[in-house]
Amino acid sequence: MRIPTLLLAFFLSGAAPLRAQAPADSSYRPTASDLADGERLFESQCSRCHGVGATGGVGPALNRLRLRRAPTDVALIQVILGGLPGTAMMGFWNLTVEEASQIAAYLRTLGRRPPELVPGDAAAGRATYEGKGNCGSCHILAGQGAGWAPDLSDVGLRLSAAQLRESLVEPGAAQPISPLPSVHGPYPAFLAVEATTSTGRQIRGTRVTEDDFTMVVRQADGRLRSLEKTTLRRLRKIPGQSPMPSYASALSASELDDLIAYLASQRGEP
Amino acid sequence: MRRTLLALLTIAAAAPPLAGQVTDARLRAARREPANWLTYSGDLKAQRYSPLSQITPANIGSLRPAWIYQAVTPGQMQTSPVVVDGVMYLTEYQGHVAALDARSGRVLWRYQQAVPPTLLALGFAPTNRGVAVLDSTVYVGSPDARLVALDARSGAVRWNVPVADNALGYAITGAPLAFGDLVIIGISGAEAGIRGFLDAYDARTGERRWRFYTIPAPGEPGSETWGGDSWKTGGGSTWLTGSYDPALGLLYWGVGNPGSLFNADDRPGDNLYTCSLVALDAKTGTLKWHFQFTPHDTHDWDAAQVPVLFDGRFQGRARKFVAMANRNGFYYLLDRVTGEFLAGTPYIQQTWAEGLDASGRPVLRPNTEPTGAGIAITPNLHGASNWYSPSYSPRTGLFYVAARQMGSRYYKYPVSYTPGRYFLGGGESEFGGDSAHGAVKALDPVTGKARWSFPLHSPPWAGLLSTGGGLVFGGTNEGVFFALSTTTGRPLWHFQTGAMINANPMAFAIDGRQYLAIAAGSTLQVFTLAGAGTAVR
Repeated sequence: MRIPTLLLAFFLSGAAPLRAQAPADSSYRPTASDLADGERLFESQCSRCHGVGATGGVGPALNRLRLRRAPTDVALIQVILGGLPGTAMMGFWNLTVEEASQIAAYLRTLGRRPPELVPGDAAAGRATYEGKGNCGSCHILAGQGAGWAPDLSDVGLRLSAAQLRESLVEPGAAQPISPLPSVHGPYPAFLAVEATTSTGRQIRGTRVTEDDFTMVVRQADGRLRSLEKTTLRRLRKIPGQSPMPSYASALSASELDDLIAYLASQRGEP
Repeated sequence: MRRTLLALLTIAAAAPPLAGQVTDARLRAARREPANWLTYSGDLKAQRYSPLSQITPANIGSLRPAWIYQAVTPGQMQTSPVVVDGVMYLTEYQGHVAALDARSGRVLWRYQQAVPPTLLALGFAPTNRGVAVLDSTVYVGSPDARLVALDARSGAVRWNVPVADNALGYAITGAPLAFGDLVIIGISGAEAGIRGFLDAYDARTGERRWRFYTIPAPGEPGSETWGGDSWKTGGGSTWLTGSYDPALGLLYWGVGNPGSLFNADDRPGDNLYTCSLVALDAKTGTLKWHFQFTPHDTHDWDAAQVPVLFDGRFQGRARKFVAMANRNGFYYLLDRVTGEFLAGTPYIQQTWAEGLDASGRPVLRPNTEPTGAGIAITPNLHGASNWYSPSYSPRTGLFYVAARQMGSRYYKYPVSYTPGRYFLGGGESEFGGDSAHGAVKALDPVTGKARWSFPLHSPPWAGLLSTGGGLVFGGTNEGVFFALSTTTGRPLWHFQTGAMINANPMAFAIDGRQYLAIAAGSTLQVFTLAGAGTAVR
């Protein structure tokens, strides 16, 4: 199969960081067999994080037309091979440029499917977001709000409507991931922890980062506590909990639909 | 005439070597001069043990940075520096060499490799793990599979020879091993379906003295363990520095995975000598014995770990040992004279073998080969250990290893060979995050049982150093350089270096002052006790 030749030369240079821009080669035309190979590779290499059919998992859904960090095919191939530094997306050194091209081609076919229908009224959802939901007390959206919870400015590109609903109804099951506290991600980004210091003081919060000797915990009031693990009397990690409350009973069914519609419309556009 | 020659030789042997000159005699007795670190693993036995004892559990609280070297070339530094009479030789990413004043960290000279823009690095980064020094020459491999000899005083090139063809995927990342009048160098490339070998070069001229192919050709012993033409692409890289016993004249070297990695349809049989330890006559390169850890490997479990040599008693008899904490999850103890299997014990929780039989061959669990749908196996392809070094302390008699506890899902794909391309036949999807972790373990070297274990937050990529001061030094993915008690594993000191540690610690001394060195990110960081010298008051 033909692969973008400029891109190939770029990767063959080996030592070059994989983030640099390379021009797209529009002559690439994947065959049916390329697409089948791309699907097979995606399911074995990528679906653990991005979900079967790229519908999303701990990693974002990729079955959409516009991928924020990969606007072009070449950029998508670069992300697959080189990863996204500072995120849980690692580079796949074991894939060839052809294989990454096949995965990218397969993903682009998914993106051409019609967008999912979201019931609910986005404008009404905005009022819920700003009012009853009080979402901005933890989240940022388009630059507004507090900053420690996930940025929702482009959440409509990252999460499907089903995932948005899960996040609102059962936040502990929808843990976002983070490459911290190690290069060996993905780790839950908001792991709940309880620590008892040598003086008996209780510290509760979410893990921000951790190594063998230290842990930084964000308390409910937003304050950071930097802990020396060897001096603690007790340290407990509580997986599956989220600092976010469930909105299952706090909002009505139609309010939830509206809020989901509003969040699904957030596409990172100013 | 003969008597005169003998007398001359005696005088030559007795004359003290010039400062900075690493003779074969010095290499053989490397641990008798603990201030220096003359070869990759500290000595030819590859124990990565420093007898230096100035830094102890009692004073380590005042260990401080002495200086930091920032590499000119960005990229993860995996170097094990060599220190000779106050001069440190290290390699940066891509194999560029720097010689530093080991007291101040100032650069004396630097050698820049000519890395071609068409460089192939299939299956690994173009990293470099260090140099060898013999007499007044520094030897280094290049990412495009050349071996270069540099003048130790100036960095000027003495010779530069091709070892193999990078266009086929051959590369060099490991440090050479030099002794006698030979430079031994291994190669990488099994991910591209090479036929592996180990080479010896004349230290003076760069002429090749011998080559040992790790994959036998048809008609040679072991060729019956391959099917059809599969030996031609059989892999068997030799990418990590081995060890040498001068008294036996035997060279010990680990051999890597077979090709293709995950799809073994075309290579029925044990696939010798992949995933094996080979013992070669150092003069001729002929095979004396071999021991295969993982026959017919389909999980990328190279035996590219450092083979450590030490002596001891086994079932009441004095023995010469070679030990390896293998990537497949088992610790092995062999007789290094005969290759006889003595003992083998898992040092992580592995899921592929019931155990080892009396000959050391694994007793497989059913259904452990990769499939199209994927199959979960521990360890993952990076193994229970990897390229980084273990340490053996003759003081405690314990074998220290940084163990990786992580599984993955292994997949099998159809595969065909194209020169200079990946030859994998599958892949894996590792189980990372909080489900994976690691540990520094102190193993009884005979039984392989852990005497103590210090847990690590994530599966490590850094080796260990044990010292005469009673300390084990190691590093973490999260950038922590740390020290544990050799006898209890209790953590005694730690320092955040600011970048991932994917390297081995080492120790040296200048003017009676002990230093420790570790590469982190693209820096080399050197530590010493506060207050004892000119640097810190």
